[in-house]
Amino acid sequence: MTLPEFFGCTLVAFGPPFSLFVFTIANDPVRIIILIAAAFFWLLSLLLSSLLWFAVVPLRDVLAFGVVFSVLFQECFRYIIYRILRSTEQGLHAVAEDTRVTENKHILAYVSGLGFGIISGMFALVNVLADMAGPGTMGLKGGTEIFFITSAAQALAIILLHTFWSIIFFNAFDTNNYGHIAYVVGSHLFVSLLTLLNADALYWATLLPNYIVMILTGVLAFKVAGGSARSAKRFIMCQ
Amino acid sequence: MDISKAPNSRKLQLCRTYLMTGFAFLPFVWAVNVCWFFDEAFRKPAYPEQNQIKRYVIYSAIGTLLWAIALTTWIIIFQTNRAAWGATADSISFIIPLGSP
Amino acid sequence: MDAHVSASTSSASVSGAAAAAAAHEDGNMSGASERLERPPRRQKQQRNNYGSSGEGDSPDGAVLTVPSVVIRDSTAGPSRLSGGGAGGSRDGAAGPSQQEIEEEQGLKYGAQHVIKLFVPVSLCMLVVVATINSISFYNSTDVYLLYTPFHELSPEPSVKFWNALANSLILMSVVVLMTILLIVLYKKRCYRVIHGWLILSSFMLLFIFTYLYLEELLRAYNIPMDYPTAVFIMWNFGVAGMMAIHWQGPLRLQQGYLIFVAALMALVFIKYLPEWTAWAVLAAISIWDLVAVLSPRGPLRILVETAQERNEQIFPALIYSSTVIYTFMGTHTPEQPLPTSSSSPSSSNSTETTRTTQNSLPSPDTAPGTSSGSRSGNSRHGQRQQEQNQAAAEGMPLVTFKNNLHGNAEAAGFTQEWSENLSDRVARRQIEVQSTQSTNARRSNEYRTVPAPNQPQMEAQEERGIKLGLGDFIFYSVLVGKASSYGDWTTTIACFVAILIGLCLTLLLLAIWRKALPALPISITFGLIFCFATSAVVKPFMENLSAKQVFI
Repeated sequence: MTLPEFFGCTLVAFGPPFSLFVFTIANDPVRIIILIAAAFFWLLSLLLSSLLWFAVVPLRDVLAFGVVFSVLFQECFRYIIYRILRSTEQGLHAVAEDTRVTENKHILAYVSGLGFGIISGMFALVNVLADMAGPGTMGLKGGTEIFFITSAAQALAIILLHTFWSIIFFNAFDTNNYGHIAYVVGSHLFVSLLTLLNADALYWATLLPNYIVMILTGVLAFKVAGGSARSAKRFIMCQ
Repeated sequence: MDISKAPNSRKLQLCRTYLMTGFAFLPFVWAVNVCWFFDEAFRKPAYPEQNQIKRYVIYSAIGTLLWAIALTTWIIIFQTNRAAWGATADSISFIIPLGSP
Repeated sequence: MDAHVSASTSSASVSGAAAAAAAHEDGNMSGASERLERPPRRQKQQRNNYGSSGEGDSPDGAVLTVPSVVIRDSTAGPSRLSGGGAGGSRDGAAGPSQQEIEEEQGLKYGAQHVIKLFVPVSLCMLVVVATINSISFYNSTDVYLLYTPFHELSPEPSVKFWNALANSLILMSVVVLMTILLIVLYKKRCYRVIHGWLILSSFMLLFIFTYLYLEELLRAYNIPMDYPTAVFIMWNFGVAGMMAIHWQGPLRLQQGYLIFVAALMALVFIKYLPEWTAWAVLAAISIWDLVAVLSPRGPLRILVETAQERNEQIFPALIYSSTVIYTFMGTHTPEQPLPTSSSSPSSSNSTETTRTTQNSLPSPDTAPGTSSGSRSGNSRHGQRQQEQNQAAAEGMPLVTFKNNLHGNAEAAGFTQEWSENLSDRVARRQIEVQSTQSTNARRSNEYRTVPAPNQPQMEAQEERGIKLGLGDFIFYSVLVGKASSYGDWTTTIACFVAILIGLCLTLLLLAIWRKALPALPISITFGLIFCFATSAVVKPFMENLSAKQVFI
């Protein structure tokens, strides 16, 4: 169960984001650059939160502390990238290959959110994946057997959640909708703190609520982006 | 370089040089020649030099194919008979794998 | 690239002004006309344009606008570029909208250029990282280069530090000497010597180091192979590589070989340099890069300027060239579809010219390498006419980055083509533009918003391949490969992202300053910072988190 597990978990976690990337981003150079820039900003936020975690020596074992501040830093950097993208919008409009990037404001939000999500999913999972391919197997000498697959599923949820959060977040700042901002920060905190339960292998208590939050956030993002029940139906019916 | 803008005589000369170079045990050069000039030889509207280019491309393709067959045959023979040939095989071996006979 | 970049910086003001002018002219139908002008150009992309919260609240409304746009377009007449119904009454209205379109069409290639560099740089890094992780031979240092006499065998960090500093100083002085030697040879026009040198070094890489690589690759995967096959493969690979790099070959093949050679060189560095020395060399080479390109008497600057003076390309073995060809009609071309502009004799068939150039856009035009330089040099003065008929190449100044040397004295550099002789043509063209303006006062107000130095960048029908020195590839890959040799993937990814962002920033700075810039300092600085920060601070944090399956 090493190599098949490796490929399976890789595809579970990164299959959907990869197809999103291929179908919506890879064709447009501007979007690729924004994606990488968003990834870079996420890295900066992670660096700051790690520095804080590293500096506060007595609380190093209390992961909740690091998680809370990491979430706050991530949202701060989401705001920073929002400011940057909005201020460079005019320049982008001139450079962009297809003007949809700037005319439909949700595209920028979506692209940067996917950048956030992909890099965060990678950082969370990539070393686990590297171990997965290796000679060892999980669950032989104690420990849970489904460690890898739950990690992958959780990473997928986080990647998609980041995308949705960015869409809601950008739109909330455009329309001064403070409820949505609070929802984004709150649900991010909720999801991250809930994963603390994973340490006790309470996977049903974490994965199920997280996926429910993910679906709710996805619906909200769809609404924010101008979707409605009717348009969703029309999309499904291919009309 | 890009050959689509080069003059036709230059194309012919290049194709010919590649064909000639390929005779020095260089089927890879022939393969490059085929890929590179395939469009020129078969897809472009006709021009005077095209016939010759076409011929060179076909020669290169045949050469590549022959070499590929020869090389594959030799590799199969060597890999299957390596253990049986014993010391002779070891003397011409570039890499002798560890563990397996 | 240089040219493009400046266009992008000024673009906001220009396009804004053009739109304003269009709206002003159209007066009563300003809003409508503008909306009508745009859709045709987006038409092909409309198929899955779903939400548009800007205008319509409901997506249905947005979807419904699509067919109306299409209909409007078909009624607007045969000209794709004319400003819809608004332009029907007067021809002039076609001007601004067309310019707007053309500007955007030209500028979009800026981002494409960045991607055209991202892809090969990523490929090179990928080869190195994959090799480091699969072939353990390149992961350990047991043999050393001649240039690094101190082997960092002492456990003391201070001794290691001094060893690394001394090693990198020795290596850097070799690099400086080699660079100066190259400049002197180039100044004295000893092309044969330089070419011999380059051929020798690429010969070594393509035969000897590739042989080592093949051997280690087969050994790592435990695949048996016989000498005849190995020699045959090496012979084919090497000779085809020499032909593609130093003579003529398909562009893709040349690019592939250059990437491979750069990756191989990076692997050699990773293999044979002691650990601390490698980091010190990375820091030192980026500082050297900064000095050599930016200081007034810097050798690389002299090299680039000399190449410009002589209208030559720097040796093809040293540069990766993507040769993105593109043509775009700028705002200042005399050959605009205006019946009134008679300043240039060839402006009569202008609309067709526009079309043909746009159609020929994907086809690469001139070859990289000496042939293109000489051809364009000879035909420069006749080119004015020529480019009207076919999408003839008109080289614009390219990125002028840097060059590096390594132990075997492989230099890498950026070229800047034709820029010297360009200036007189540009001056001539500016005069033409002014005369065009006088004949057509209506459009002149937009032109005034463009500062004069930008004008050459707005010229018509440009062809640029972006070029990045092989040295940049090598040292980027050394950084990422070295980071990945510690076995931590987060560090590798962080380095990769940091280097790409650094490359982006370098290109952006190039846009702002419009002069030769070194490509290494920003990227390497970012990469080093992120590498050490990630492996020291972020990695323990992330390991803690992922062991407990906590996601942030």
